[in-house]
Amino acid sequence: MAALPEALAGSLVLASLYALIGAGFVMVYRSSKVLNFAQGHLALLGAYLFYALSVLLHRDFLWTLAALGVVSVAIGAVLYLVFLSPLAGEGPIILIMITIIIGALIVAIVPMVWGTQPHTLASPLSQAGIHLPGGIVTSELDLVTIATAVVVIAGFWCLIRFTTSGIAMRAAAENPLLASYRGVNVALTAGVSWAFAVFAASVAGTAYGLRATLTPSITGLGFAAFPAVVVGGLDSLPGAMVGAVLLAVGQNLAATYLGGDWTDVTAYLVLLVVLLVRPHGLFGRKELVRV
Amino acid sequence: MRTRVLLSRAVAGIAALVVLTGAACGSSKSTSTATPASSTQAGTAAAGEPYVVGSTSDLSGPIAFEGTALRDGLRAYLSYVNQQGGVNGHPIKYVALDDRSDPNTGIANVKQLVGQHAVVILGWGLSNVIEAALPSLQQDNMPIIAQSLTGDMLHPVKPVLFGGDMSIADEAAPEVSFASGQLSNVAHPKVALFTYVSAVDAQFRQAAQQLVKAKGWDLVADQVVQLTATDLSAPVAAIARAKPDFVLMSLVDPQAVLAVSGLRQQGLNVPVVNYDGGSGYTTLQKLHDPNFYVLRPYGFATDSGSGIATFGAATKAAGVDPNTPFLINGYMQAVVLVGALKSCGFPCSSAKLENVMNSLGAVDTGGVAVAPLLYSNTDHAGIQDARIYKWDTQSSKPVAASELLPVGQK
Repeated sequence: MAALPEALAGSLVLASLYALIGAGFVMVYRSSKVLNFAQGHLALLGAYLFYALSVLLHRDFLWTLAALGVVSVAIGAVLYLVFLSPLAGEGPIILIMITIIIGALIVAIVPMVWGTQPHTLASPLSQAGIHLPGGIVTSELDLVTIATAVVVIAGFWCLIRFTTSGIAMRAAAENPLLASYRGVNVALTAGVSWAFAVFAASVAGTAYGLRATLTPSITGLGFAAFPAVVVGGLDSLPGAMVGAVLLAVGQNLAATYLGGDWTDVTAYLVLLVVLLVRPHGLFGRKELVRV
Repeated sequence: MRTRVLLSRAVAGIAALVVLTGAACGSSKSTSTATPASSTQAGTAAAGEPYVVGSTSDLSGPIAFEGTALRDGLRAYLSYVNQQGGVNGHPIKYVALDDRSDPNTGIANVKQLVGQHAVVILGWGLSNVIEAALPSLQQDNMPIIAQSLTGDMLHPVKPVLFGGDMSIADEAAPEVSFASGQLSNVAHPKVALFTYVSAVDAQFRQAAQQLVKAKGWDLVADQVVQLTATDLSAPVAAIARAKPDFVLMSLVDPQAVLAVSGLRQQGLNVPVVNYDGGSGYTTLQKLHDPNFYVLRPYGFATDSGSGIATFGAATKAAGVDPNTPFLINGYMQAVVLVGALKSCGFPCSSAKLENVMNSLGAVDTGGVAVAPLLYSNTDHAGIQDARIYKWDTQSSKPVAASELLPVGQK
């Protein structure tokens, strides 16, 4: 049992990464009903952009973060306007295919620009152990990662919950035509969602890159986080957070008590059980079709 | 009307993306055949009929970083040799194919290279691709010098298969040998094992377990993780709780960083030694940990030696970073091949080249490999010895931290 507090505490960083990636899935899904399969690839792109901006800005961490925010938001908007917007209304399948193609493109282009060699991200945040009661060990980088995830997702949630943009996002997703008749700028709404999705993915990719080396393997974060967002509910930000925590805790407990080869199995077992019991996820809304 | 226009734009956009993606990723046939072949022979100083050599590796897909680095290393040395006049007065035409880590594509690539009269196939990134292609290779008497051969493929020797790197199973012995020296003052050593889930790494794990047992050490933790795992906190905590005196590891570069920084965060500062698949320059640089060691059959670009100087010149001319993981592996395959082609003469058939490889003897690499490679009738492994490296904070570069250590259980 001594391992339990460590396993739970150790899950929080992983949950934060899953939640950030998951928040991107939710933002895009809420505004366009599209599953963005490029989310992990966008995390990869964001981390490499952080690296490039860091070099450009002489490794000034805060300025680099600020610049990454601006650039990632811009990239999200441009991706939507160039690749998704022309196909608005064409149905989800073709839009999902576009996200897959965007992902493939990122994976191909990143090594061309930055090479296949690993890079390191400069950070003022220490990874030295901070010992907390209960035998829990964490670090500055861990704490900042967790806090950042909470702030980013809370910000997204406030936007959706308390602003007209949030209502517009929901309206645009449910019936783009009707929403546009009611004065909602559907393209702008979806563009904003994509901007936020790329921002969240970039933060997640950078947070991962700061603790490991920067390689194309970051893409795996997207696939790893996918069960979390389905468990939580594709259209629910709180669901993405809860799903992320459930998945990360489940995986860490499995790794602790069954062995590291059980982590993937656990993720998909949790997903399977939740889908059997609640097909729309723990916090997702069941869609009603009136006939 | 507007819908039709939008649809046309979208289709055009998708088509453009597909073309770009295809160009970027490369495909089994079109991209990689043309580019490397033309670029390798461009500006060549040698004339006459070329030797045709091919490679198949993962130029796209999840481990493309390995396959492209192998290709870049191969191309760098073969281009350098061409610039110097070729081999026996003949240039080398290099055809690089992409197997996308897919066994069926690997088999198709073998057939394609046989059709192009290649005398040898280099590269290779995954052992299962090699296993699938082996019947075709043996049927066509096509020798390969390959990365990722398992212990079973190298011992006993198999026709046409020649090692371009250590098998992972063979890395357990030098790791344990190094640990033995580090633990000489510890009365009852406690050792932890940290590996990833794969068929080849399971061989390392099994060999290490046997060697630890034979030493009479206490194996206090034996953790495995998925190769794709992005969080190692649970196995790291388990190892830290076991309080080992030494950690034997075989994790890839990004996971090695997560593992070692996690162990240090937990307060476990004992020596850790990792296998060569996680021995990259950037890994050592990022950790700059005085107690983190890596096993390598090849040196670093920062080492000294005539071969290292040539390596630096060739990679610079090719415009590639010499510290890219696996690049030096491809480079060394090319060095071995060129040595064999010199003995083979011209023309050189696949069957003749295999005979030459069987009697090649010691290949002196001028320091690129830490010790001469050896190929004979009874030993196709090539690499006989490896060395431990660590990051030196004084000089800010990797430095040797051991004598030569024999690979495998000899």
